[in-house]
Amino acid sequence: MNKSTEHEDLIDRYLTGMADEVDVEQLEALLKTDEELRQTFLAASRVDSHLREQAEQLTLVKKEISRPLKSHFAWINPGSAAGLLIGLFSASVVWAYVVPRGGEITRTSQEIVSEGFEDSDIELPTHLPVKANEWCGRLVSVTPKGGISAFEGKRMGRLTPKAGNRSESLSRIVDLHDYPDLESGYVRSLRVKGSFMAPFTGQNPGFHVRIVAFGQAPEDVRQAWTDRWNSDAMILQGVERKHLPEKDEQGNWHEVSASLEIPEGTRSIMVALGVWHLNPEMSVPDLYLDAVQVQLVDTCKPPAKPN
Amino acid sequence: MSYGPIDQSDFMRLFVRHERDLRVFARSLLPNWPAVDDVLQEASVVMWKKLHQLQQEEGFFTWARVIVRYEALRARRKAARDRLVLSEELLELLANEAMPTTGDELEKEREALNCCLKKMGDEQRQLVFAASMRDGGVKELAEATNRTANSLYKLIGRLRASLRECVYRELQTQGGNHE
Repeated sequence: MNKSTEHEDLIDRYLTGMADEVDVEQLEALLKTDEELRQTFLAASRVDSHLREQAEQLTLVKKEISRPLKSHFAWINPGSAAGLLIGLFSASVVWAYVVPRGGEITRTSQEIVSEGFEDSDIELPTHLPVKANEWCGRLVSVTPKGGISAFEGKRMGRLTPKAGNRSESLSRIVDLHDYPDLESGYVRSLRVKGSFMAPFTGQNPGFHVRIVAFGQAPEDVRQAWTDRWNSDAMILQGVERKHLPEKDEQGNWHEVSASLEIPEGTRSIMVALGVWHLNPEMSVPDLYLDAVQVQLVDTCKPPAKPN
Repeated sequence: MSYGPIDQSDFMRLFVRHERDLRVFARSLLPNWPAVDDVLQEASVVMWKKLHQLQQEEGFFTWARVIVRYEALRARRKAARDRLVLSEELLELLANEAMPTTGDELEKEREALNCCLKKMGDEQRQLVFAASMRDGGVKELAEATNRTANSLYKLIGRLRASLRECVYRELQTQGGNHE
């Protein structure tokens, strides 16, 4: 192997994640002193990028700005092949969009829940849900007061954490048996979005949206969730987005969203929107939730081969 | 072209338009795709917050690249103990030398790559994409085809090298200004 080929091979190992420490050290030394090799490296990284774009078109790797950050990932259930993925998004602006690539991707979405907590008589069970299509949690419908506005509509939900709790959430089960089967060639995702607000009270809570897929029927989800630490098989897959507002942006509405590609074998999906990072030593703050949307999104896979 | 403050809807449009090219730039500074995705996400939030700094649409790409560069270097500093990443000093050098590449040149490279991919057989193309799809893609393919991951990586390395060579030739043929 001549030097040039050897160097290209080294670059390629780095770009494909196959380089070891010795490779990286060698590449570093070479690149620092060889301007021509740096140009080769830059050209190789550009081609790698273009290849990735092509691969994304073929495999429908979705790009969503609001996806969880790798650097904050942690597997809650490390024994499971598909555990619960935790992401922390530490900025105050959260939005999501999907960029169709290649013009071959088609999507249909069905809104299955749209909740603005406009019903003043809403009374919710406070335990985890035991059946589908029912909100559960310590939440009441309130009218805005003290200079606060609802995110939309005239009322909003107020989460009331139990004194001493570090977190509180509103949850619901979606039963996939209630919806048409997925057509061949499509993948299905569940997307959840909600807007949160916590006026400044000395607490600095974070907000989260969690989506967890289970193989069990809705009535068995609570037990499966409770047993998740003891059995790898309880959770098929899950994602959680955490959003920690900056202190000077408390009092604003913060939209937080998450999306989960529904794995094969899923029967029920538990959706939860809530707050965390509460200081149990301090008084319970006012926490508001509004404009919750849950959507099923079916996406057609592009053809397996490039044109 | 706009000559006024850029508003939020303009930002989304501009970001979507330039995202691919920003990813190419970030890739030259970062060791893997998850890191690129993270930095792009962080950078997009910074751009959103600092949108008031941008007065004209035509300056968006240059401005956005500065932010991506800063976020990539910041990510490098966070990974200070990782011995599988290049040094900050080298990344500064690469960032400076990557700068002259324009969106038009990148588009020509994409077209050239498409031509080259079409010249490949289906199996070769599948192998090349396997390395670009996701972590573990090559290992999965190796298991499925009863090969060792190492031999597959070597084969993919040769295919990627020939692709780069083909892209270079295509650009020369088209009169592109490659490198």
